[in-house]
Amino acid sequence: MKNDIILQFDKATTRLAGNPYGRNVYADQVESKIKYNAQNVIVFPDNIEKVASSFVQGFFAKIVEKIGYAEFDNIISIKAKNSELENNIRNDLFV
Amino acid sequence: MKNLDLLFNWNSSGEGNKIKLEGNTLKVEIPSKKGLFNGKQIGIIIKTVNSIHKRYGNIKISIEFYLGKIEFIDKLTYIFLECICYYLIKHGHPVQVFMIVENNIRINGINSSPLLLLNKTKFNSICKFPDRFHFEIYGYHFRRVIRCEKEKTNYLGNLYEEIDRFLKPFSIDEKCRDEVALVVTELVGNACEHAETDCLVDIDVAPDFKKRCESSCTDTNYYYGINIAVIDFSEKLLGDSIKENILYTDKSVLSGRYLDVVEAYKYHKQHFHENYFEDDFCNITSFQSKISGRKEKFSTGGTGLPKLIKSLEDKSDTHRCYVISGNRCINFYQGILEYNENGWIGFNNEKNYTSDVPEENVVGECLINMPGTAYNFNFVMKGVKI
Repeated sequence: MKNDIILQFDKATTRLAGNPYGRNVYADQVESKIKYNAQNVIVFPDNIEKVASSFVQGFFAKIVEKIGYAEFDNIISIKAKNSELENNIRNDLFV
Repeated sequence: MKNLDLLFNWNSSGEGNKIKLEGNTLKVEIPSKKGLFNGKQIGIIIKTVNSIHKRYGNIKISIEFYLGKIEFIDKLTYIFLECICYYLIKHGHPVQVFMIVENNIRINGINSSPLLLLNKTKFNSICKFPDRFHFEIYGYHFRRVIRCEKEKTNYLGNLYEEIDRFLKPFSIDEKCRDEVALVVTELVGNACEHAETDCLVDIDVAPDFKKRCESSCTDTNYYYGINIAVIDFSEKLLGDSIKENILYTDKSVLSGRYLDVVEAYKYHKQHFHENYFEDDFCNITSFQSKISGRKEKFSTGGTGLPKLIKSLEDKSDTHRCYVISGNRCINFYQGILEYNENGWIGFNNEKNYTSDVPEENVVGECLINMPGTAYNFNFVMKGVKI
């Protein structure tokens, strides 16, 4: 079962950065929608071109705290403008 | 700029230079050995300002600094001089700085420094100094003082974009541009989040330099410099949260990599000496992957800064990067900036953090006691005529 969570940002925004901002976006847009018994797809809108690791780390902090790194890929997948950005976001968390 | 007064409070011991009162103006001469102006001269000026305040209290007396013919050792040094002048001007002192500056690729940004408003100019130029200190995006110069209040907005994402936009016209490789913007953005984020203070960012691009050559040299390439200073003033130092949340906390609440840090500390402690001690260990630990100053079980943090510097280093012809905090510094020397497969960086050739100490001279003493954290980055890139 897939659970799409589509993030929303101002249309003019192209870059995301900041750990507290990442935590804030998670709390506002994800926390109430995430299902730990499903595959959640976090969808970054196409206007987002770059995401700093500080944002990634803040955004996913609660998820990693709850399920750990080992389970992450079973519960979360990332969809973004292109596969390079998707990989970068994931790598910022793991590498 | 928040907490700038700490720079004076933390460097209050010792006398400054002799000051001469001529009419209503204090004249201060700052000598420098062979014209090289570095942290030593900055320390002398700070101490001199402290003595002026001690002697003249709240009198808003004019101050003239005579620096002679000098070469600043790097960007951070003249940015400190700007901070000192800003502090004095904000305290009501009309300030003038007289100097003849020798230029080079590392300090080319002096040509757009607000200090030039104080160099044999009229009084009304001094009034422009605070605005120029806070903000300028013009030509080859990007300057911002970022306030720390708006943590929950995307202000860092906007900064990330602004820096990238600033660098775009200079034919700088896209990846390099992105890394520079990212390094600066993440450092500003650290200042605002951990130190809860303002952060000054100054970037300049120094175009169209050629190598000084011996007669046999045939290098006709153009080089450009990317020079960056990032400064925050705060009582919180680089390694403080490592000290508080890992070394001096109840170890039973720690797990995973944090326990590895505790084990590493046991090893390093046995090898501490007069030029490598606990503060240095905490400073290098703050750059470890997935170790953060926040109190949390699983850390997703860690700045990855050395990784970015390494990547820029690989693209550059030479570089000179370091950080100072308190009275210690870390030099980001070539060849020691790699993480090992487990995400540890030892600042040594072996990439060994857990059971080896940093290479000699990587950590060292700082010539001033820096309240907060200040970074100097200089990258010299081979490129085209800009």
